[in-house]
Amino acid sequence: MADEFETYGDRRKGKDRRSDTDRRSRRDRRSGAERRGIKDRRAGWGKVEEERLQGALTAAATVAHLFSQPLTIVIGHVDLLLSRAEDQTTRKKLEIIKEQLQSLSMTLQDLRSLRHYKTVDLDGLVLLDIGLRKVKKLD
Amino acid sequence: MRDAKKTEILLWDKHTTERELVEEMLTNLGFEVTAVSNEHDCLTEFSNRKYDLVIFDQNLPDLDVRKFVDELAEIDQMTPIAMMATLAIEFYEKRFGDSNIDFLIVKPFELVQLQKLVKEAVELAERLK
Repeated sequence: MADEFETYGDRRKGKDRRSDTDRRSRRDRRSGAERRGIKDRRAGWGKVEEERLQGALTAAATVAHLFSQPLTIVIGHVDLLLSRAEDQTTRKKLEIIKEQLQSLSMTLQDLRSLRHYKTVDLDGLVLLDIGLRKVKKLD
Repeated sequence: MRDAKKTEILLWDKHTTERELVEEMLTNLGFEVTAVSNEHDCLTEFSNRKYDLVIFDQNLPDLDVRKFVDELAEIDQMTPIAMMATLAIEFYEKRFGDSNIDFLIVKPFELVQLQKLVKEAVELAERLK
């Protein structure tokens, strides 16, 4: 059966593997962001993890801080509208809006509770683990 | 039968949209609200009248929170003080745990949480009497 997919660096096709576009040059390999220098290696991974955590915490606090006020205003108005709405269709729609806002609010709470740098892989999408286990996979 | 006295709340929030909303929420819950937009008006109002609770927004870059709550406490130490906050509780506990702030209400909050805050503050004020 013939190969349907052409793969880079496929020796079976007699290609020059060195010229493949996805291969990193020696320089690239040296400058890879994930590679640690001698000094870093002596310091161990702890420092890198700590820096990542600090970055994640700062980003999380910024998002929580900036999103809190607009979300308060929207949730508050939805609550006020719900307390007055008599029409069932309107009530139902407001309840759906409120449910979604509560979901956002819980995500903000998760961001505020972040204490460790941990990621979660959702089918190749690597995100900060802030309770994303709860995220439902889309069909 | 005489009507029970309405709970009186002093609200300070610099941000107009949020202030008007929280005022409406509190009024909707049946409380009497005086809303002010700056620190000076807040302290003046607090000196002029007895309130059951003070709620203020921490989200002000030029606000010295500790100094402000100390000034409130100097006027009346028995009135509970609540601060609207945006970050993790632990942050505020470390920073203001020993201050005169009695309650934190973390944004975003709902009507029911605001009601719970006022209920707890009134109960605290009763205990402090």
